[in-house]
Amino acid sequence: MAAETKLSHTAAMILQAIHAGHGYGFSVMEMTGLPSGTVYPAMRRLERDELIRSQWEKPSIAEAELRPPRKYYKLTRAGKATLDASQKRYPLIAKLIPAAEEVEQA
Amino acid sequence: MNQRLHLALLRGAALLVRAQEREEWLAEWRAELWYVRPRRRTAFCLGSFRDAFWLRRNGPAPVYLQSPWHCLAVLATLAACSAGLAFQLPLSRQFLLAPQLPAGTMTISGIPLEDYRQLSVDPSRSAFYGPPRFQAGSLNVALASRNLFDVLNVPLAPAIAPLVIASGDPRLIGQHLTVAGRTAQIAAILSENVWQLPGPANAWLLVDDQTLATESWGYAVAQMNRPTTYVSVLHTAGSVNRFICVPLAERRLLIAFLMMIGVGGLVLPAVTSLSLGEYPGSHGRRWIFLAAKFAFVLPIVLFGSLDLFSLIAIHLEAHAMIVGSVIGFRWVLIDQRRRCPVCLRTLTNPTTIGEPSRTLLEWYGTELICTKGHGLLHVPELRNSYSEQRWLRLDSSWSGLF
Repeated sequence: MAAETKLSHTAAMILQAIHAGHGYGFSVMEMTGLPSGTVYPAMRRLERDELIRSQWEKPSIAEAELRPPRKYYKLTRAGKATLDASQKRYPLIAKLIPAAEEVEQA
Repeated sequence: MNQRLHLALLRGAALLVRAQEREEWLAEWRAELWYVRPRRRTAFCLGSFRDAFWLRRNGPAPVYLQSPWHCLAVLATLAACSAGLAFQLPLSRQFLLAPQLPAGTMTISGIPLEDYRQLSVDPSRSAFYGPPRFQAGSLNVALASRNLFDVLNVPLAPAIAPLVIASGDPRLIGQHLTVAGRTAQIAAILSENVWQLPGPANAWLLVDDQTLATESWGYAVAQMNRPTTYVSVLHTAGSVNRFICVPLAERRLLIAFLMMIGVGGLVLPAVTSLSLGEYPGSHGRRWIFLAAKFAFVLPIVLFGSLDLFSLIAIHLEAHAMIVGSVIGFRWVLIDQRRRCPVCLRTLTNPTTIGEPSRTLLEWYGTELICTKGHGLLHVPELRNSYSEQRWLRLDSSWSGLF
């Protein structure tokens, strides 16, 4: 997948949300306000295009917090490059969904 | 209760996901559901269907459908199984094997018994029954001539006081019922799906003419030599009574079958493109394969709908036939478009080419390849008049790659 791949606004929002630390589907839904029928297929598409990758958390962590284990998503190197290009196209996205470290700095 | 409903929705959607991915897919959705607030859970679970459809549409075709021979074998097996099941299940068997009405069978409603006796019809080819006279559970029982069901060509089990019921489980034949203090034996159970006698009665107690004489008016059934719209009865006083004749309509399988094809064909252009793409040269095998798939899908839908009717015992078979034919025909066309026109195997390795932002000026879509090296299929993301899916044939110089 080319680093300059252009994403739709929705896909860019989801990529930004994952980058900002909203690493699982429901958290992305909450952050973006998009319905589940949009978020999950978009994440499958991003994963198919190798812009994000997924990993189940260890059951011991989930058990300690008395909740089911989550499937976490992270940006790949290609995903980070694509997000940088998307932020130039959609500059408001980064302001709407700031990354955790940016919130702390503010 | 709600939690069960939500899990049932997720499990229903999971059936659309390929078996090898299903467990993980369901685990993810169940885990995510845990975080959703109760009020939003139903909407959340309904979104899972969209996700499951996406995975199904974008995944490879099942291995058993890739080869054309395997595909036809699977379809033939499904057709044979659904037909076999239809002949085993009681309600669908009754519908399929219902005896055919004799030609020219007519009914006359509201005819006095005296007038019926003066009809110029062979008595062995006509019969009479009255309005419901007794109640036995949910049955409205009418008295009828002994030969009523001989006229209708319905075989009866031997019984002393035969009772025929309009619909029910055929295993009830031979059982005894008490009707107006008399014991009657069930001699036949009709399939209301085939034809229906006029009047509110749903059971007929067959009696001799002497008992039937207590009726003043009722319904006549007769086999007419030629189609007629009314019959006249001349009274001794010189007056003439005329009665309208109505053919006893049969809802035969052929009518349902033709309707299924007709409606399915009309709706099809609204749910998928009818085009099979551009393919240089003629590939006769491709058309034979397409025709064979249609030929197998039709009995699958027809008998499958009857199986469904028999299993749930609700008259939804016509609806199921129409919906099933649309889904089946759509699958046939989509499957045909995703096959190599030379070897007819399903094309594999879908690759996204181009970018969505260049849709109008450049090509953007998916490219699939034939694993036997016959060519590439370009499928545009947005189909329009100038961008149809195209087949790029690879000559023998490419064979070293495959």
